[in-house]
Amino acid sequence: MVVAAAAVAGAAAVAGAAVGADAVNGARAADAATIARGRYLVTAAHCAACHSVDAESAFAGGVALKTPFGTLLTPNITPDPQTGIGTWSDEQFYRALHWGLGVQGEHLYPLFPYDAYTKLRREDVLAIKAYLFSLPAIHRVIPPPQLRFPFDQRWLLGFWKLLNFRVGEFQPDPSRSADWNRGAYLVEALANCGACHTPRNLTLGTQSGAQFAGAMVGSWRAYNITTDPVGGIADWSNAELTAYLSTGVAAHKANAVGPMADVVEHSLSLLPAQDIADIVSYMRLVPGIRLRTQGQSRFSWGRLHNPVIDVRGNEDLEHPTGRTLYYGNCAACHGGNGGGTPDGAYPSLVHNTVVGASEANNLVMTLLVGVHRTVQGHTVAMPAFGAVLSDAEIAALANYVLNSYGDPGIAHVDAAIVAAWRAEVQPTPALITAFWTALGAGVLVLVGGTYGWRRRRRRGPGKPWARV
Amino acid sequence: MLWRAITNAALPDVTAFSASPLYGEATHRATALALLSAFYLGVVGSGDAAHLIGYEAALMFASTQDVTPIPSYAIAGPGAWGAIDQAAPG
Amino acid sequence: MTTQFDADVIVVGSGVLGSLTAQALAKAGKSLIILEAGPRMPRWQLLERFRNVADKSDFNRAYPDQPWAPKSSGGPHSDDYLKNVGPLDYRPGMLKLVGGTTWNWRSACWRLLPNDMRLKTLYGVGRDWPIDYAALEPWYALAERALGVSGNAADDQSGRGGAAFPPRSQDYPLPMLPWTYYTRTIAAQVESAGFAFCDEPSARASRPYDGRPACAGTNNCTPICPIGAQYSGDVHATLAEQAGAELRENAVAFRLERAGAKIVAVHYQSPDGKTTRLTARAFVLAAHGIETPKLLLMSELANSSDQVGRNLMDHTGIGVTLLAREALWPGQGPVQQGAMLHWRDGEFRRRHAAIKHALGNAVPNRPVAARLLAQGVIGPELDRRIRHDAARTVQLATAFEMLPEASNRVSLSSSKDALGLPKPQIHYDVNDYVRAAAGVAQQDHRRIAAILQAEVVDGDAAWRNGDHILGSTIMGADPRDSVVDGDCRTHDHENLFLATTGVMPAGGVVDPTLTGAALALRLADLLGRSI
Repeated sequence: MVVAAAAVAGAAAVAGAAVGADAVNGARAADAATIARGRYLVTAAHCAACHSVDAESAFAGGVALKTPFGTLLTPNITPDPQTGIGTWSDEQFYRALHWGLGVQGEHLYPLFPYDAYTKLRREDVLAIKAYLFSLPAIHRVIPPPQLRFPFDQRWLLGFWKLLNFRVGEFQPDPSRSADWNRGAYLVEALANCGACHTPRNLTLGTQSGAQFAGAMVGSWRAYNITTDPVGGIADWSNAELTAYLSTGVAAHKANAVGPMADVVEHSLSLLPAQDIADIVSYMRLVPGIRLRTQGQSRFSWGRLHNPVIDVRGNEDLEHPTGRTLYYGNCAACHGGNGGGTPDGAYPSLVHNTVVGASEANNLVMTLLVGVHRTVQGHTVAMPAFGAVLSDAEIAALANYVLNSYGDPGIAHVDAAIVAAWRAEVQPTPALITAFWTALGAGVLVLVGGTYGWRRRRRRGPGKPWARV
Repeated sequence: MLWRAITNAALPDVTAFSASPLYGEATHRATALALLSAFYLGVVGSGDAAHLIGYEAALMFASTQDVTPIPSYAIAGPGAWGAIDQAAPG
Repeated sequence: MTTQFDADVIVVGSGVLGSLTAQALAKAGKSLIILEAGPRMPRWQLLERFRNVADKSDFNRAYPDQPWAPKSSGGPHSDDYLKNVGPLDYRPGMLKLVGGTTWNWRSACWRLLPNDMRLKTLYGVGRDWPIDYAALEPWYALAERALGVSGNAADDQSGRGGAAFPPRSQDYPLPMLPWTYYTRTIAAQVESAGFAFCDEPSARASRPYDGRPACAGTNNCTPICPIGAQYSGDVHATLAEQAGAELRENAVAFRLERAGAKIVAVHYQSPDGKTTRLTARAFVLAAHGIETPKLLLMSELANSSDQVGRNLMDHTGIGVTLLAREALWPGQGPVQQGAMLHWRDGEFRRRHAAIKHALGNAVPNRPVAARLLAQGVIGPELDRRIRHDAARTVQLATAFEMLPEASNRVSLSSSKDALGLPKPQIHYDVNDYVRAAAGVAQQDHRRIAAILQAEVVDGDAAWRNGDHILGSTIMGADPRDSVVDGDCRTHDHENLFLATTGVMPAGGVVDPTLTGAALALRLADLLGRSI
């Protein structure tokens, strides 16, 4: 079955359905092609983002995913028989990605985005498995998830699936171009951009009517990437989009930071140029949505100006203003006037999609943790200021940058907000907890009530309810 | 005094001033140089009595900003200087 | 664990050598207290202080001038601190703050040559090191990794234009920074005249390294790298703290206390006058080459040889500023990239000192403008001339190797500082070994000027400080004429070590910080295994 599936996937390499030595060699060649395809798919899906703590323990899991309900450590998906998936059959692997079911038939937490991977073609799923099984088995025990009640009740996920999960492989749309269809497969089934860029509903599924309209990823903001000209990326040229996805930089406009820098470095920059073109083709046709009141696009804010005449010789270095902190920490590279360097190596803060965004998250997070992005052997780095500046200093600095080079009208930050973002504090989702508790309780009441009603019927009328 | 002398002599610009006999006079020359020194070097006075009036805006850097940095400010990306293979006109 | 001691090890001084030692010991599981005389300052504040300082001719002025933590110069408390009583004004750079003097340096990270360590045996002058290059080599490799040194391992750093030298077990952790047009052009021209020009390895990140960004060419290495691409001692001060060391700033150590031959405690004073006594199993003095012997002299320790403070050396030198015929444009990239090493080693060392001509690459606009204004140039002509002369300025900083002499010394002055402690008194002079080399160097300067078709604009032959303190707590095999042994352990006190370039009995003609770092890592390893 593996050979047959591999033969379908590796059509170019298979020399037909011959038996004997030819079949064995053909199978081996097909395996190599399947594994290569699997490697490509794993890169496109960026499985390492969640399943690899570092390059040395690739896919051995253990990455901590913080949710509002507790922290979950990702499983070990190396072929280790005791601690990984080494004993899994093709069918079990397919069920996990296609149905969101574990080997005991239990529902998997949708932190593993099977709502996207369900769209993968079966042969692709098996190619992924073939690739993972070609990697070294790493023995690493991953403790089970520790989520708060009622979120530790996996059976409740059945309801989540009812509300949010449509099972089914990707069906090409014959009314769209081949480029679009390839792009759709890449975006919806593999790269799964919606996992970060689409806002969530009350049940933490993605909002179907708000695809790619922007959402939070920890303390970072994944921006609106719909075709809205103000809120989204309609006014980016194809060249800019292509450059951004494949290198992390759209010159004089945008620079990938935080989780997106990771996606560019370890996934998108490694995909063939045609894939990037197909993704762009697809994104050009998503409906434009603007969820927030936004008067101008993110890259239209700010003007160059250098108040150094006011600064020089006039600063109180013991009680620095945001402006003083800017000159001391930022101006050496980003310029006293915010313009960066002419070659763009140190980006301008004017007309900058992070600085001009309508929320300050990515600006503050970039100040705290810096940037480190390696593409085609070239590393771009900005130092982290989180260890050298206090929360109050980061806040003052961010507010100065927003006032000078961003949208001065957005909500400013203070030390408390910076501290919360620094700690990636998850907001307490009272409403969501209440919903699921009520749902769970409601189900229990329904089940209990039905059982009691049936018991009463069996016992006949007149029997009193047992007092409990 | 210097200002009146310049006005009276109807000197149109600094070049004319520097060529005129006025510039040969010690006091006028000293005043002019003290003023220019302040603008070009960004400092008045010296030693412990020195007072900064500017650094980035000091005129001593103005004529070379296309080629060399004002120290402590970058003008291009890391290592970009390595690709420069000829001297700008100087 | 018993609380018999305040710490396993106390390190005096949080500069590069003290912090490297402390971090290595902390990672080996030892408890550490680091005492730093000066305050803790963030980089951004030092940078803005520099930009705001009026008198930029003394880069020390960017740094705080505290009465309890005087520097070598740059403020009312510091300018009168070093009391020079000899013919020369010995005033090597010294700062007092967390991270030490390497906040303000050019980060040149040369290794010694094997022959540098055998001066007496090979050339009949100076002193031999009691250890050889092979013993130090693995620690050089670790030090280069720790500081993030960029360099070219294929270079012949002995200046003979031959195969790679000295021998290395590992490549540099970072590739060399690219040369500017200025450096490339001058290097080619002087090479054709037989002057071996070599890249200067430096602790500047040529690509992002250990959280430090790559060098952006802001040409401000000294007085302070604006972005931390250049290494400074605060890197390891922070790493030491992260590894568990406790760092106490504004803590001026003024006395070591002994019981018998063992050092049992260190006493330090805070700016408010309060004194504290701390005990430890072992002590490391890393207080820079002047304060370390001063502390030993004040404590009357480790001096059975009468060599503490003596044999004071520097890389005293001369300089010259030329105006080349063609525009070369110094000031792109970092402030220094290479040097002429044809006088680094050879039989001539029997007769005169080794010589290194470093090619300065600093933006020259300030001295150029000052010179033109002094000549009375004004108006648009001034702007034209500033551009013209700045493009053609060539700076050479020439260093000479000194020999250890007992009469060159740091001792205790009768003059007291704000804490009531004796100021350092210094007697320093150069000898004929150096004067002979100066004559040779000046011939080189004339030759270089001829090659570049340059005129000399500033060729005063005044001696300049090299900022490299050597010899003041000299290393040797014989306790009768040295202060520490080959492991940097004082002969007189088995639990007292010195992590300072002051231990070096010979410095060759290269900047000593990398050698000091290698020695510090080596002593930390030994100390860590023995307590």
